[in-house]
Amino acid sequence: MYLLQHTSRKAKGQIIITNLNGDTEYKETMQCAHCGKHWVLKPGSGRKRGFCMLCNQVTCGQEQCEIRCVPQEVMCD
Amino acid sequence: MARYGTTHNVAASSAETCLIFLPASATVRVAIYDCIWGSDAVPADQAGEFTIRRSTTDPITGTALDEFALDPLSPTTGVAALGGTFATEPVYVTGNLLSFGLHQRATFRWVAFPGGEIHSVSGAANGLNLSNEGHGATPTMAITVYWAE
Repeated sequence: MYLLQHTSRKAKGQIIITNLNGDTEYKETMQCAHCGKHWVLKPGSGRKRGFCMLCNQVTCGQEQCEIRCVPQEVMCD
Repeated sequence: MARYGTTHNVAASSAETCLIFLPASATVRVAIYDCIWGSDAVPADQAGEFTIRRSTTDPITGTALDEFALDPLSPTTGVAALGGTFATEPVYVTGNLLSFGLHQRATFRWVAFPGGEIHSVSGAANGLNLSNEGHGATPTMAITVYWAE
């Protein structure tokens, strides 16, 4: 179930949606190393995300997460 | 880290409203790792948008919720969870930590993998909010949230 399991772009969460027909859908979420935001990866969506070479993890693409490296653990303390 | 949970049933609204607030403190940092959203209202075809966000001020005059420890041997939680509706909304930090649209007939669950928890900033007046960004009606939402601290 892990997305891109052999890279640093690992899923950090999963959403489970049970719709009105009783069908269950699973999607994995990735997490920004800087702000902690979760999102569902949609290849081809056109959304630009980033990658922090210091954290070696993906970032969400927001400006404040791309211009400097403040890991979530540091920001939250 | 000990794990805790709470539940709350509260009406969604067309305006941005906080539904559950989990306050942090100087000694407690909240880490949400699981949340379940659904509606126990009469089924109807309408939808809303929901988020998890950080905030820098506490909401005012909510309902004190009952927190439970997943392990009975855990110490009493340091998080005094509050449920909406609030007289004054918290001041949100820009940016959603999790955002999703949800049809009233559907149920949504998000689970963090180890290391993927949503953390609050430590310190008084900080916290995490399970919020309603807007809804097509005012159905009662049934929300369960689990956190570690």
